[in-house]
Amino acid sequence: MKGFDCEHITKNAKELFKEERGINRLDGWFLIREANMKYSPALSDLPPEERSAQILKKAILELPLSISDNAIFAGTQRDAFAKSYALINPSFKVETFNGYCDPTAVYGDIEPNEVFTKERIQKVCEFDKHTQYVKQLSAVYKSVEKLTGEVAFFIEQVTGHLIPDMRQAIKYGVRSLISDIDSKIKTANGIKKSNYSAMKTALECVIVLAGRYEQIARENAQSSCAQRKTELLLLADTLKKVPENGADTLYEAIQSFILLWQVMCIEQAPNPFAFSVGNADRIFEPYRAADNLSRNEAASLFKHFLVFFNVADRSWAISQNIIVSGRDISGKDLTNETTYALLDAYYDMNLPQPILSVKLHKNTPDTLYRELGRFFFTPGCLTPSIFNDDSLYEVLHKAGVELEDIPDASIAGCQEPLIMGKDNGNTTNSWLNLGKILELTLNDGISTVTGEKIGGVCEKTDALSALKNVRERFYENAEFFITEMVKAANGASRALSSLPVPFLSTLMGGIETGYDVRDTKHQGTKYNGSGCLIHGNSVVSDSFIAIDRLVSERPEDAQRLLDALKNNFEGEKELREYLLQQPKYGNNIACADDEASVVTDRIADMVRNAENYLGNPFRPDYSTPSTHLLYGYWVGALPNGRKRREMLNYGVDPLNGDANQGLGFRTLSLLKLPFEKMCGGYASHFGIDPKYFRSETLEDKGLDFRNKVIRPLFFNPLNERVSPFYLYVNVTTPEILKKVLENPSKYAPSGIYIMRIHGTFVNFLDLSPAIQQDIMKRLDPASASICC
Amino acid sequence: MFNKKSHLLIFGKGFNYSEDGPGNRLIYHLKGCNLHCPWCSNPDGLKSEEYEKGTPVDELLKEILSCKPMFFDGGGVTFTGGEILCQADAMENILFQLTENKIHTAVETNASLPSLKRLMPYIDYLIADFKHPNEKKLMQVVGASLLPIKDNLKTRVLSGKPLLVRVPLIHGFNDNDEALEGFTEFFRELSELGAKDSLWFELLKYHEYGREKWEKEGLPYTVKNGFISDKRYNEIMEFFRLRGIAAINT
Repeated sequence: MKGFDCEHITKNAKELFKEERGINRLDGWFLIREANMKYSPALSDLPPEERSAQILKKAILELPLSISDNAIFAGTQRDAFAKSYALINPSFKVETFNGYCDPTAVYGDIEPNEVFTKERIQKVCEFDKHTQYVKQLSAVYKSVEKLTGEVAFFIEQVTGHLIPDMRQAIKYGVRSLISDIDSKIKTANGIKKSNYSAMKTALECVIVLAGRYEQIARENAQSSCAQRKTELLLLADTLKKVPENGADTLYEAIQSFILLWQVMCIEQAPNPFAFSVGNADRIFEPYRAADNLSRNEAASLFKHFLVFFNVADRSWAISQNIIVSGRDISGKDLTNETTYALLDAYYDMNLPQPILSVKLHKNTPDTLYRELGRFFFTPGCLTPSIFNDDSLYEVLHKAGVELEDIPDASIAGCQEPLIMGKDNGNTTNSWLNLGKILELTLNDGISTVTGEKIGGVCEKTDALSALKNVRERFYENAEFFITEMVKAANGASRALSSLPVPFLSTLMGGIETGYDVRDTKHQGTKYNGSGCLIHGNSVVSDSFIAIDRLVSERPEDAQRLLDALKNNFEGEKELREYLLQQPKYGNNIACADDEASVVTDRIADMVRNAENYLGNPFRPDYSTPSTHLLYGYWVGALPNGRKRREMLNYGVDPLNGDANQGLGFRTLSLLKLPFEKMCGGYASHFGIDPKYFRSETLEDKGLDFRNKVIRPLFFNPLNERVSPFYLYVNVTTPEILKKVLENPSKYAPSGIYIMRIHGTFVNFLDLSPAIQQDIMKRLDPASASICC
Repeated sequence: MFNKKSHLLIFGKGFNYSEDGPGNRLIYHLKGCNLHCPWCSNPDGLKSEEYEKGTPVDELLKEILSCKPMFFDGGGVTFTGGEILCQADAMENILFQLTENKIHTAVETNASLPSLKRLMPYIDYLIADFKHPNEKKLMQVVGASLLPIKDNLKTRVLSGKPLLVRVPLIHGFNDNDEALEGFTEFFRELSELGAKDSLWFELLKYHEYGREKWEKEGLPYTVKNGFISDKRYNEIMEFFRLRGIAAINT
């Protein structure tokens, strides 16, 4: 592949993306579900895993396929996704969002037309409604309806959200995995035997898919001009070789990866969000090096690789994460030429997906920071999520991950650390709303938002006692809600286990164990756990501090406070002002920060003590992927002065507007949190004004960024605790974004202006207005000012 | 020794890395200034209203001590302005206490007031402006006398403690050859007084970071074209280099 025309390939990649953005129907997932309906009855005698594999094969054989004139690789994710993801749906409203709990709601995301008639859609939807999976899942949701109605907690079945390890399949070919299975199957029996048989069939699917694409490439070649003909014949020859056999060149490795990924997503259609690539630079570097490709040549191939992750008009396949750089066990830096080639591809393409993450550590070379400068300081350009690899080693090792596996730690979705190919973390399985629990604790289990009796375990008491004992009562209730949440979350995982995923299992250690990834009785992956996203730590801790002050300074107002909370501070301006003026987390005020640390620590322990379906611990994850808005909408007024339905604090950040001393003070507060307990991850965001970085070149600004933002937070030699390990930034101001919205043709002539929301990045112009406003609000410049 | 009730009028604070002293630093901007530089980047700090309640020194000390984990890479606290010498008594108080607590201290000053001398023992790193070598021009444009500035800087060099002399290069004010010769003469004089490893010269290119703030304060921004081109800047650097003066860039 050496010596090809980089400019031509780049031009094609950009055209290919344009073509993709022009697609506004996604019907493939429906065809897959329809195939399931069509073939399931005849296969009903088979065990579920074998049935899944057979249906996958049918779908792969029947899906309409094509290769664009601009493509240099064959493959698409289009058939696995629907136009569903709420936050990039223009009609999304905070008020009406109710989670993704109805697995048949997706049928509302397909617009009927002459081919896909209403009746046809309805028929498949009805079939799905009567599957064991949907019935079982619906029963779980029904059982906790009262507790999830106003989101004291929420649970969901986790699809996607894993990091497959494709390295063996790429290097030795799928045929080699099949022969591994053949040798295992000889001695296997029972469920293992059936799993192996299913895995074998599932792996054959990708060979079938490659064969179909090969045929298309050869057919297209016949009617193409000379240059295109050469490209298509190379593609056809490559498809003949991979993924069935091992790849030798970067071109072959990428092609192999794409088809493996395609089948993996089809197996879970619709909407397996947040499957992630893992340490992409380490996966592909051996092939680039063997091929002796230059950085520029490699980058041009990666541009097509990146386009693959964008699905249709709004890049619907959200939260697929690619991570680069990082260190090995000894602390040696693992940045390589492919790291920089991938960064070049990302920068030049500036696409809404896939998400870019970078692992930094104390020995990260200056060159990498210099190369990152252009991402942070080019307006409208994507910015990577930043991970502290040194800290990840500590956190994951403490959570039970063997040291030798930690170099393969990477990110699934937004910020959840998992071990590539070995870890099923069920990352978004449960969601806990501490704000709601505090509201219910202070109002005897009755919602102050709707007046509904929701629940809790605290006995009634007088106002002053309720306030004096608020911590004890809150934690008692938290225990109750966590217990209920865990039961339901495990129920959702069990429901999902009726849909085995043999193809994915081969990339997750299933060939080793003989078990399916989703099996809830046998552990199919080396590591397993379930996630719990914890919301509102600092609104609760700030509320405790405000209550302490009120109890000590004006105890006579105890009942008044409880009444004011019920009435959303109506007519209680003075009291609310008093509460707002109490110390708040995020300003380096000892009492407020210490309380935030205690709340975070205690709740993390309670979550960690809960067991999932296999008896493994839940993983505390302090991240709130826009759910600080959605869940805040269901939380009444709180003693920190926050009013009813306002947002909760984002991730582990202070509540918007509460930290006003600037970035350094906010960093000091952050450093006090128990990051070692957050093995499920956490979220934190700085919205930083570019004016604080005054170096002349983008490269030097990259170093400034390290010195002013990254080092104090991640690599501060005076910090004796486990350091924070995650951050994302938007280097902009609300004023700049207002201008972009007012005049997109001037500030984003390409129609793409990338911003970050929680762990993912999105085209700011694709977002629903509510989320656009949230982004502008949450930049919260006073909390991230730097002194000049 | 000090008035425990002394207060400092502060109009801004925050952290920065290595731009106003070594390492990661907590910077305080103090209110009030005795000069009127038309290019000032913090015009909001020019006035000091006496009725304002400042921050008590003991509270400030407490805040600074709580920030210790951020003073890495030899960092600490930097006081800048406005002009810190307008609050010399309270400054002496806080600097003394910080020294007692082994917190690294830096001060950025126009060095035009004699009170700087009594603060010097408690300043680990002194950043002093030297805006123009000509008495008349200096008085006319910014309202400062040259003599006390030179005197302060010489005293500092003689003490052997670190001194960074900063020249804000402004087109039409101090970028002509005559001014450059004047700078050279004084820099040589300073260099001959003390050790080279604790004395540095820095040339800062004119910028307009303050323009917006002037407008916000309702004050006219009178500098017309103060920018120094890259070409001229390099010529000036070369001018000093040929005369044996190496300027640094922080």
